[in-house]
Amino acid sequence: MIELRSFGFAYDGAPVLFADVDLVVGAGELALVVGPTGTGKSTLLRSMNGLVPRFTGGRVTGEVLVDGRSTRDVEPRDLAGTVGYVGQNPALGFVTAHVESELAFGMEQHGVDPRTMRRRIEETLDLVGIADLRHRRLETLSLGQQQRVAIGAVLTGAPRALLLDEPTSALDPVGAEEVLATVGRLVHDLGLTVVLAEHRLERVVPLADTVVLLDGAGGVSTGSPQEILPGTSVAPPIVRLAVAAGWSPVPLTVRDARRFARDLVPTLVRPPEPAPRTARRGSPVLVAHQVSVRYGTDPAVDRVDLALEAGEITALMGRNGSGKSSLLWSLQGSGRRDGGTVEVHGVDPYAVSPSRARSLVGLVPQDVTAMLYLETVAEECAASDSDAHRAPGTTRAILDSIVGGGTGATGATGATGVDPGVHPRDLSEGQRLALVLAIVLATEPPVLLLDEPTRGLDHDAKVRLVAALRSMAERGVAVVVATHDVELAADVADRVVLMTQGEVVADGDARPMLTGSPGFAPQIAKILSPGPWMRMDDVVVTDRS
Amino acid sequence: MTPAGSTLPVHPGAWWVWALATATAATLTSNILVLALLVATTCLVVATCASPGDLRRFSLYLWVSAAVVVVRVVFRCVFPDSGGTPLLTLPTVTIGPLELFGTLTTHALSSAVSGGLQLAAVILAVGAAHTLADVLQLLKHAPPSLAGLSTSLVIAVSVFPELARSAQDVRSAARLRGGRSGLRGVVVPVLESTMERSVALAAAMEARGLGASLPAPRGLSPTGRMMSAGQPVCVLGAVLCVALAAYGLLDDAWPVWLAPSLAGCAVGAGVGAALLDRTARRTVYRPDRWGAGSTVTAASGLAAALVVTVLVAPSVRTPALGGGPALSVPALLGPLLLAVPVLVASRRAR
Repeated sequence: MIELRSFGFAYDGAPVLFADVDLVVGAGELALVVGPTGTGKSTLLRSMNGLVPRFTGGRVTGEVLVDGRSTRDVEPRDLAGTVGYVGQNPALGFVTAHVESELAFGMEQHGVDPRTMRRRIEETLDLVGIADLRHRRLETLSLGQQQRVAIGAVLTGAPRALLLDEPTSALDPVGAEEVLATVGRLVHDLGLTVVLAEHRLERVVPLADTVVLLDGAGGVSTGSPQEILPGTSVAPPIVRLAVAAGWSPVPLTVRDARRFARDLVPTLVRPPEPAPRTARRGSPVLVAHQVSVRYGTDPAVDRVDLALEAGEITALMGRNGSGKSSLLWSLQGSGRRDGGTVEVHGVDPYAVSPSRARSLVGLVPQDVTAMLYLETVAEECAASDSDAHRAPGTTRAILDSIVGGGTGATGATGATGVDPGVHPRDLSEGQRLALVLAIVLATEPPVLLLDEPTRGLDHDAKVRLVAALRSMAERGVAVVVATHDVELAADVADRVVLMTQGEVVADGDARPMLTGSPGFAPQIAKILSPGPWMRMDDVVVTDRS
Repeated sequence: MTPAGSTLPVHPGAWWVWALATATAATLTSNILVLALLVATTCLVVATCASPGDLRRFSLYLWVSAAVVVVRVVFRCVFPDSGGTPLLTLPTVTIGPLELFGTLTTHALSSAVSGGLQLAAVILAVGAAHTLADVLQLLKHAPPSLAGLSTSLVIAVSVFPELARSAQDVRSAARLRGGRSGLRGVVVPVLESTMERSVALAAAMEARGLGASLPAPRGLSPTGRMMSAGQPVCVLGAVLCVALAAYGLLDDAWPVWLAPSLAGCAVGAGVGAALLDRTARRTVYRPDRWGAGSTVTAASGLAAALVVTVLVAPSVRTPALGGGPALSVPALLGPLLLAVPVLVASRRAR
């Protein structure tokens, strides 16, 4: 269906991204494109319908054939009937205001007969499971629902292949399950060919027929998930556990892995129990009392009480739209607050100037690019030093300590050391996050809040982030990470606070909270359930070698 | 009124006809009572016919029109006008040739209120149309030959709120840095993200095959081809005429007759484009159907405008400043006719 023949690509003025790639995705297959960030997953995906190089520029060698037609000869828009594409942020591609009109838009432009159009839309609504959302406005949908609408809008053109760029990376576990269930249905029932780029592989691997691994040095290896994934940095926890325990063949679903785990569990040492939180409790750095945030009449945050301890890392979890971001912004003092009090060392960050507020509570927003506005990293660092009234070089020093602070980093992408002359938008996601983190930390706030920091981060960048957050906590900073990345929460958090519809519904030690929850359990906890193990460090396999 | 026809929702076009007729009636009368009736019926119709979610949109128009009336009255208090009986005497402030405050008279007050109400009624009529019938929904019914125009309008209208949101995001992010990044700290990220958004939108539209080259319908004669080529020229001409007419309306130096005649040219060019079009391939998904309810709605608006302009005596329609506002039977009937859509709505609800 899709065939790459000695395909190579380089952006203008950049080193070769990949060279001599030969790849065949057969009809009805689901191919998974994996690799660390910056290795060209999106580029490879977009070259399969001709958006690369027609929208990006760059040098192409070799050929891409879609259903026998070369992307050299056919415009991407003329390939739309054969191959559909859904980008990383589907909301950017929406052209109308309502679900139904969004699905109809493409067909209206093509002059499809109204009766056919009506039928196809009904079919698509059922296929992607959004029939109950048909009259809703697009901006009122959750991210997972938007993703499914975007897939639906592409499907109405009746393509035979679908390209999906990180469809689940922004979604909470439940939303990700829904989108992947939809994709699975398309592959199984319709025989659609799907090429999917992703770096959160826990859920998607069981669906994949082939895995295409980009190693970042121009090379591409293709094969079944069991052949390719073991030993790579992108391997999901289940594969890492299988490799450590020597399971063969490598299981890909939790169900298969549990069969192996029955023999493993008795040999495992229980991880050390941390002292109960009541014993560790010092004086809280930040105390929030009955905080409420309302947009219109709907409460986004509903009378939340929260006390943050120095040196403790808290994971704030919950579905998309459960009020995590609103709570963080209101704790920082920049966001709305319609009721309640917040005190950091006796001062309310809402009542003081923005520059005083940021020295009390630092917040790394979800969209970090919104905070950057200068041309080079060096200029950003200098501006940050003068904003924070610190000695020149402070921000740069923090940045270097974050970027070089990884323990298990393999350094394959050369992420150590950020070139001061580069434009912030040209940094990789991980480096950009590090830069914003350094800017936020320049004033040494005693409380640090991070809103969904792991979107777009690969495994190595996450390892570095975890190390940076740990070292901050050791220095006595109270850290809150709002995330739906359960693996990150398992790696970093001492405490988990769970929010639903603006209310805190559970608050406690990370281990019992995460291993006990069906929705938010990390993969290792699911496999070794009902044990206390939840991350790779916990699992010390003794009976091997 | 057939039962099947009356259960259809009212066509967006009917609502716009109704609203424009209301606005016309409001501009042609300065009678405070008639204007107040017009405002009241407009609000009544919106309150009964709009869905609860849309009502919030209308409240913005209510605030704006209330502000207009208040501003007019305050303006009259600051810059007094003579005539009529004095109502209120304020200490006069003289700044050079200007005399501020002083005596507020009945004439000044009534002319301020009627002028404000006139504007308020027009604003509310447009607001009502916007609340009751989505503009995007109406654009769907543009003739296929204008599809290119209406499509770009649809996209522009739906993308615009995103721009406002991104400016909001950047401003709050600037606060996180201490709020001192200045104009550059707001403009650069907004422009960058707008650029990114536009390129992403263009790529998404390309990937979805919008604007793909369609095979021309077979059996098209050479003259047909030539006429099809004339169609975009007509569309461009119509757009140009509208732009010039809008400019002419605002510029006093232009002759009075120019704007209406340009508007006429635009309509002519639009009709020409629609007639010339042979290749339009655009279809509409679930078009709104024009039922009896739509006819009643549009007719009620037109009838109200007609009654107010023709049947109401000039002395009632534009009363002299001295006397109090009078009311006649047609003057009462006209605005009440506007409320007929309420009956249609209640019939549908049953």
